[in-house]
Amino acid sequence: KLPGLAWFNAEHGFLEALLRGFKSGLLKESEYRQLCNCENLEDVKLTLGDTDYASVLQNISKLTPEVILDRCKQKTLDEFEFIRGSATGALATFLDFITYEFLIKNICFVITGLIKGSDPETLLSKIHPLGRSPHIKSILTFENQTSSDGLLDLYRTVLVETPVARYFEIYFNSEVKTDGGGGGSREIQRVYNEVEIDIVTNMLQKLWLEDFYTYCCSLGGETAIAMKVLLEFEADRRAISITINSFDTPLNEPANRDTDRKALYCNFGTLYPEATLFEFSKVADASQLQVALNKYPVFASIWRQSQDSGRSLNDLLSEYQVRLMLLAFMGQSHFACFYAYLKLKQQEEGNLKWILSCIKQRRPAKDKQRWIKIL
Amino acid sequence: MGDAGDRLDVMPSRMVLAGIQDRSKAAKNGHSLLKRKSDAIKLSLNRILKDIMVTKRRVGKSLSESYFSHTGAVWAAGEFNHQVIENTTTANYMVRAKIDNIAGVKIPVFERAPSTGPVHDPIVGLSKGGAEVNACKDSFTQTLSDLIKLASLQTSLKTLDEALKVTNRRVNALEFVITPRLLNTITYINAELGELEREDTYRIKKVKDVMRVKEEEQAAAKSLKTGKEVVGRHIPTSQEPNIKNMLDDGADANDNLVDLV
Repeated sequence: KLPGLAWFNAEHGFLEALLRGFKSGLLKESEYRQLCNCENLEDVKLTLGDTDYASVLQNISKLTPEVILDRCKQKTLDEFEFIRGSATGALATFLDFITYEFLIKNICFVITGLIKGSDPETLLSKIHPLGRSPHIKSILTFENQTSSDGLLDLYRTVLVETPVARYFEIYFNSEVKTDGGGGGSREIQRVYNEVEIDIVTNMLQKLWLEDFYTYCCSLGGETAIAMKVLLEFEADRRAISITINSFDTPLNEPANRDTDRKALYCNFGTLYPEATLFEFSKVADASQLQVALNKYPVFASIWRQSQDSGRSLNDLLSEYQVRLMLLAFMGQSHFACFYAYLKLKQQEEGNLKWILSCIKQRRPAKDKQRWIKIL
Repeated sequence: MGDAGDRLDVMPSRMVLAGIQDRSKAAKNGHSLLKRKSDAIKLSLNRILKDIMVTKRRVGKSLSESYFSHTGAVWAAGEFNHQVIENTTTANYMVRAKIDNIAGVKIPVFERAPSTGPVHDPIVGLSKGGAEVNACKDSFTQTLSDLIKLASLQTSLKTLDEALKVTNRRVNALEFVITPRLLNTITYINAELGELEREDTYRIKKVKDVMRVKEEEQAAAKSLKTGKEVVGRHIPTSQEPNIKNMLDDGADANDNLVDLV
């Protein structure tokens, strides 16, 4: 249980203050506008020189969008690592939870890569830095991954040590159950060979999200209240995105809608249980999804906005999410702002990447306007 | 006359002349055929050039659009490149080379081969941005088709250009080297043959003269036998300078020849 308001500052006050400092370093709307007016990367560097990124952009021998983005990413990563390193108690667990999302993605990526026979070094260089873990290296050095028992061994000796082992366990057990046996080892092999890597990853991330949600609720207090809003929206956004993106895939086949697709929806959120469990099973195209979402004012209005303005639903959902994340900074003495800060930073990375790519590809100014305002 | 310019080194005879005349005819025939081939190649070359220009412009545009759609996909779905790369084992898009024929020139044409085996389409960005990733994929597939068409056209252009050069070289060789040489040879043989003929004529004339002298001698001898003394010896002597004259002056030979005939 979290300590009450009285004790919060004693334990986590420093980090929260630090975080709020970092938060004020997020790029402002005016800075984005300035970036959009940049003609080349030198201008970008100059503009970013007036922001918190100034220090990391020194001593670049050759300016490329990749270098700039890497430096900016590294800065965010350093900040997060520092906070994570200094955190204690419940906050440390909370921050670990945040990284599991990336850890799951990395592990899935690495295992499929290994099965397909890719070079371990290249795989290692491509994983998401936030989900880095010593375990990934052990997965890569693991021998005889390709034999049928190899993967079970891999699971027993390496995966079980990782903090995300329980999601793998739940997932594989459920797969065994639905397919009526077949043995655990063959199951893992089969899953990784036959099931789409993206579906596996999403299943595991769904399990993680549910677990994270339960954990936040168990923390109680302000954290639970604030995180509930954020995670529920994340769950809803996921459900909608998965439904939309499944339209052209086998997941949209009537037989699969009720089983495979439904399994990807989280068991919480505003869309749960009515929409995700029942309504979405009937949804086969965008217009049906719109009807299904009509009962939910937030999503109905976002959908309408998307149709009116011509912007993609994805962008509008992200925009709404950014607003929710900012709301998390309104309250005090809770953990939600740590989660929100990381998400905002990721959005900022995306914004920067978008603008830099547009500049590199010499797109007209109106193309650049897709970035999502944060502050 | 006969030696003016380049000619084949042949024995001037009627048989060789007939052979050379055949060759000259064949060269003329070949020349007109090759000329027509070169024109046909030139025509298709122009067509291909036009096609290349149109395709190149389109590729330039669609390539930048494709890259931009990739930017959009990354924006929506996050970095997904390596996920796709690591999950791809077989090619979805394969190219086959077919041989086409333009004016007798074999040119390779590339076209999309029907893919063997099941097409594996990995799902990417299910929870975020999958639609944009698909749009990006479609855009790049379209660009790839254009690029392959361009490659096909460029190869055709190169092959045809080469063929055109060879054909033109042949046409020119026939027109400016082989045909003149054959014609020269024909003239040469004709001249030589004419000379031989003239020599023959002269020889015949000479023989005729000798024969006449002999006849006259015989006639004189006959008349001598019969007792009639004739001044027979006088005639040959008057004939002698005339003969010498003929041998000396070749230019007059013709006139004499005509006279004789």
